[in-house]
Amino acid sequence: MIVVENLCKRFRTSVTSVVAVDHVSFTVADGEVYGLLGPNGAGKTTTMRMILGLIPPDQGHAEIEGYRSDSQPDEIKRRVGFVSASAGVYQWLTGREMLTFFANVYGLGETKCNQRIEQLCHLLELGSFIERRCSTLSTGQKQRINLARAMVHDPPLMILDEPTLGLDVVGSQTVFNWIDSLKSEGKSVILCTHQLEQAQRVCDRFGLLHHAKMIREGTLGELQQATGRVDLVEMFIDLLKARNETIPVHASSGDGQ
Amino acid sequence: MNSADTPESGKRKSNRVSIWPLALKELRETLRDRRTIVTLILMPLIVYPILSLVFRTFLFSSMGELAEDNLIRYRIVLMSDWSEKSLTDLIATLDGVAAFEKEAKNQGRVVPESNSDAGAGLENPGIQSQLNSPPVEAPLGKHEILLKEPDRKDAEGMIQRGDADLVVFVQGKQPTAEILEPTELSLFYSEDLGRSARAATFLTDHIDLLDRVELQNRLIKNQLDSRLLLTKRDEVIKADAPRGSISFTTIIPLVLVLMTITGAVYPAIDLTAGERERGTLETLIATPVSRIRILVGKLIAVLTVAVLTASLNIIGMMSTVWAFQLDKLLMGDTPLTFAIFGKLFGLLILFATFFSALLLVVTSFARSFKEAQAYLIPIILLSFAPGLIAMTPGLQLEGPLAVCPMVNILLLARDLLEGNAQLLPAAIAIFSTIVYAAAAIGLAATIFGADSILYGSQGSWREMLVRPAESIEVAAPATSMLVLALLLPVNFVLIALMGKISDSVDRQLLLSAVFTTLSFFLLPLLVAWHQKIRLGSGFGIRWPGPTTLIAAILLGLVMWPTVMSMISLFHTLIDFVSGSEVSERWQQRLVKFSAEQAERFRQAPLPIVVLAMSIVPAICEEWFFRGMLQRSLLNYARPVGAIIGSAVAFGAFHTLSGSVVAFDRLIPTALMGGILGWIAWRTGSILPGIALHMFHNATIALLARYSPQLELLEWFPDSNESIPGSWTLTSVVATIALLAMIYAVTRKRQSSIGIQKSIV
Repeated sequence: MIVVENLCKRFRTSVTSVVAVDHVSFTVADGEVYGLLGPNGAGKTTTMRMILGLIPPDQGHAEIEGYRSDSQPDEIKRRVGFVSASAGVYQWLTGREMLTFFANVYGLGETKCNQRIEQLCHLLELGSFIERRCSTLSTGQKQRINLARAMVHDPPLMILDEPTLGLDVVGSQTVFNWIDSLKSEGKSVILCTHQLEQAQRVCDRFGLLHHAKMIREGTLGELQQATGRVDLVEMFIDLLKARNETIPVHASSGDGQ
Repeated sequence: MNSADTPESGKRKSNRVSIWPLALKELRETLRDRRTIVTLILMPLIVYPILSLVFRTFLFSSMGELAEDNLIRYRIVLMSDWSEKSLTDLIATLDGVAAFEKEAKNQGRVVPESNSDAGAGLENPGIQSQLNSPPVEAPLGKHEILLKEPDRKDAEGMIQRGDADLVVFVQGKQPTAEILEPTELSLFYSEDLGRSARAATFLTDHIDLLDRVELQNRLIKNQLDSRLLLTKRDEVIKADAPRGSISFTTIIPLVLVLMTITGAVYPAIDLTAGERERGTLETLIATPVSRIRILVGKLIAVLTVAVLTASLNIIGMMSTVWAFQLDKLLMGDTPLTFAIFGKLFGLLILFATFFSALLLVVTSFARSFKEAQAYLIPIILLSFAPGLIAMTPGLQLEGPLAVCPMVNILLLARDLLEGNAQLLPAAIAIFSTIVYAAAAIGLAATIFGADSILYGSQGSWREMLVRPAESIEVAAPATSMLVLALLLPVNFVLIALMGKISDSVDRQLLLSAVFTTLSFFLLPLLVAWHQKIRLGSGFGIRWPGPTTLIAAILLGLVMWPTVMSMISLFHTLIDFVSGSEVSERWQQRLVKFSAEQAERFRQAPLPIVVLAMSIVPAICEEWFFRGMLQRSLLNYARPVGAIIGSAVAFGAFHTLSGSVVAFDRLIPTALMGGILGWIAWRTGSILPGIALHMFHNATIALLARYSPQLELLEWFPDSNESIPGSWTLTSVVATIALLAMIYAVTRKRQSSIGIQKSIV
């Protein structure tokens, strides 16, 4: 069970100050795939980073299996697999070396580490390139190594921030198939993506962020009822229109960072 | 994942991950990168042979005495009443016996042995090699030889000025067929000058050989029929190396240190800023490993590469020096042994630890590879400064220099190479470097992976150049640090200008006031205007309340005995650490400096003294150090860190200001800065600090100005006496009581609104 309660974050610079997340709350049940959606700069990434304990919130907290991300970030990190759009790979290590390194960091013994890597090789079809140095891999192959890296310690929760960014259709499909498999394994997933059709297919519930605030939350049916729109794309376009109308509200729209 | 884990057990399990997988990953990444390999292997393989060739060419050509035969020529002055012919005969005799010995050796014949074996070992050919004159020196007659009248002062002067490498007094009667008296040769040379010492050794070898040959002849003939029997007396002269001459024993560690830095720079950037740029840093931070462990893993990797670079450099240097036969030329009679290089290597590991941590501090700030490179260029250039300081002739590893980063290691390495290392200063240098390395690692861990660096939530350096649209409360730390960095050279230039512009004391004092205003008041004010920093919040201008202000004024009046005692305490510490000789030297310098200052205060009109020494420094220095700098640091760091940071900067400025580097002012001034910083933090205002600073400076200046009158009235100890213990005790007690008063007055405000919020 993931509980996000009243999270707030404001980024200050010497020049200006930006509200990135403004009193955001939601819950994700065990085995549920939660789509955290919104236009660029809505505060999705910052929310995810606060859930993971990478950024301390100004206010509020996130809780996973009873551990709070502000006071016990290491315990949160043990229970979360994190994939972000900007995540890179170690150029000079092979895929296997990279996975072994992260398995060691998460405290897996040698036998368990090898077993887990074999499982992931099978699941994500890494076999043909896992022994190659990461610098020689294609974008899709690197992203698959990254997905395997996030799962190497078999966490109960996956936080996926734009996991298909830069991938082609086949690569994106592989990722969404993988999310389906996570769901079937009973893992909770928080997914942030702009591929709304796919999100609509795999997510159980949705949270729509806009201008750092959670403006809609619920299942697809509940959102359809509340917005009068049939699919997420239409809801999203409505959000963007609203954004254009209200853009002067903040000193700087920025990227929420 | 063990679902039975509870939130309570979670805390115990954190940070269990070993550092070694982290370090191993970093090493794999670094050592597989061909850029590292280039720095690591190619540099020692290519650079040292080239350097050696350059050295050899430069050294020989700079000596100017090398002819086509590639032999060194010394400048030898013969001072004697003898006729020119007799002296020429003497040289010819010395050369003749050397040539005879050389020929005998070439033909495998026996030549006389050294003095100690003269009687017993004439048949022993094993000693022959020791009798060889150094291969790089020309025969005596081919050296630059000047004949002069005997003049002891002139002899010493010629050595000290570097006009001659060796002066020889030839004493005794001129040899004739009848005179068989020994001739005494007094050799004037300096052991501090390599050429001079080598010239003396060179001539001594000739003299010894001649004596042994003579002795042998006399023994064979069993009668005293030789005209020449020389006795030698050494006249060792203390002389500084001439300006511009560089000790090779200092250059060697400097080259090694710079090479070690070169090796560490690339991995330090790659494993911090590079990792961030590639997007792997966030992934690493998202694992349950503490940032200090991640950083230590990186430090191990950087250190390993640095040490590998150092090792290869040492091997490269040793091989090249031996291959090019430069060891004797560069090192003189102190050979480069494995033991020396072993010690040097140990020092390099220590230095590499310190510098690797320092590099990680700097590169952890950077958000990209390019940014890190830009930060490191000034650091690398700055690291030349201690290197150049350490090359200063006659500089000893003692006192504050023993704790000066990098300088201490370079001086210790030089002493090791020269065989003069002293245990206590060496221990201090090693210990202080360990402390600096630990501090740097701690600082790097604080900065590394901080969300401000990772996600850029704090102001960047670029933002300093952009004028903000709206006014801001306090300066960004980067802005105040930039002002601090600008102040250092500006201050030095202005101080240098002061002496050139005017000789008159009152004009100099006025200029000092003007320059202090320009640098510490107007420069920060200009930056504050550009950055739209509100003056009230940005510099802490607020009414502190009458009680605080009165307490601060009283503190300014009573603190001077405490400060003076702290300076005495510092000298006692120097005495303990470096011995009484060093301590006395420091004390004498302080007494001289204080006497000069007091004399200046007496010469100038009182209002000018008060203005220049009290009012202007108090306002301007508080304006910058406790105003802009400390308040910007408070917005970024914890109060204790901000106060210490501004206090150290304050102390360092007072140490470096002026024509001499007065290290003994560092600790007392920094402590004073700490007190001023604490008061500014407690009250949220610089006004009490200005009052304290003003009255403290005025008290000191007035006491100095009127000390003769006060001494006459027996109200004040004379310059040779120290402050009475009862005065110090009273001062300390009063200081504590007044600080407690300020604490009590500001407590209510602190607890109600929180001091940091009130400032920002």
